[in-house]
Amino acid sequence: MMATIRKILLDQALPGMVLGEEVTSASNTLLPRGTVINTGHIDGLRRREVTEIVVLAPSELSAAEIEERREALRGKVAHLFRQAGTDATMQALLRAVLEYRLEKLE
Amino acid sequence: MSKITLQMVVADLDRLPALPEVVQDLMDYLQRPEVDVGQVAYRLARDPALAAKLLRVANSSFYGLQSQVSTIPDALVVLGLRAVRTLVTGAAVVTHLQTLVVAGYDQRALWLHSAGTALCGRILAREFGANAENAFTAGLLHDIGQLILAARFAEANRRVWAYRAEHDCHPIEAEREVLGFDHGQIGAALAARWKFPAEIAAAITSHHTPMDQAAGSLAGLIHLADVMAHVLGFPGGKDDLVPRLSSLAWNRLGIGWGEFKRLLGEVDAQRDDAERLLN
Repeated sequence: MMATIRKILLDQALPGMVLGEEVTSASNTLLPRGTVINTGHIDGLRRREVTEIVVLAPSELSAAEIEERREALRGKVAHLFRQAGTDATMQALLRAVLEYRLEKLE
Repeated sequence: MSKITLQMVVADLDRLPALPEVVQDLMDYLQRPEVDVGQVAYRLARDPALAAKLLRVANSSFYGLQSQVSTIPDALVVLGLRAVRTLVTGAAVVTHLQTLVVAGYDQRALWLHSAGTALCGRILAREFGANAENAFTAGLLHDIGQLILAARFAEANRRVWAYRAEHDCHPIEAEREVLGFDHGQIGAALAARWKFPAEIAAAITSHHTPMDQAAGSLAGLIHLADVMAHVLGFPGGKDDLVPRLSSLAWNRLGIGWGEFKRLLGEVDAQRDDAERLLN
């Protein structure tokens, strides 16, 4: 999967993100490019008053991958509702749950 | 194959380990019309594990604190005494009943579902102007009858599970078919024995049959909270089955599906609280 880089505020950094550029302070490298950052790193950078970092942003999922995930989710919800029958309230619940889960996926 | 009755299960509740003295004492004290924060803090401090759990809950996102509280008196001020009573009770009951070990029974799944339902109940209560603390406790205990059955009547419970596996049905249907009574009735008896408010016991009894209770009752909220917890993956897994949502209970609440989705989102945002409650 192709990856692009983007600059984010340190406050938006999340554990698991990958540095797209090294982080430096004066002339020292604090963290090299490619580091998978954890909460310790984020706290450390905050102490050193780093406010922005550059991270790798995975490119958009392909249309096929998105459809695959949506299909897996539909299957999961259908399984949970396998005994729902034709009752109108249960069918409405099923639609609402599916909408909610699909919206969350996006 | 021996036949068991609801009376036998209820009589057996006396043989469950009693609530720890510290908890019983605290619950009794909190029943008083006027309570002193210093006294509550003093009593709580006698059970450090309980005090720690209370702090974790006080610091959870539901209470939306700007900064973390680190002492019991601060937590009492932030939460208010009514909330503390429920939280103490809930935390104590979970800690206490987690000690019931049942071979071949997935207690973790039951507690995850219970904690999820407690979160949903709390959010629904806030939405509908009901007592959030009672909704939380009722959510936490609504399926406790299943655990009691598994822990104390293993043979009967195995027959219930065999029926469920064969028919892929809801636990309550298997219980009624095999035993002639259900986990709601067992849980309600326990709630009554522990002197919980009557509306909690009624909600536990009727969480699958909210139409048996008046409109606006806690049973209706817990009924929906149970459904919400299942659709949000508390506990999840391949055997999970969403309970039948009663049209009458749904219509009584008078909300639309758009609002329902918003409420699901609110619970999802607090998912970590369920873990906090259990660990």
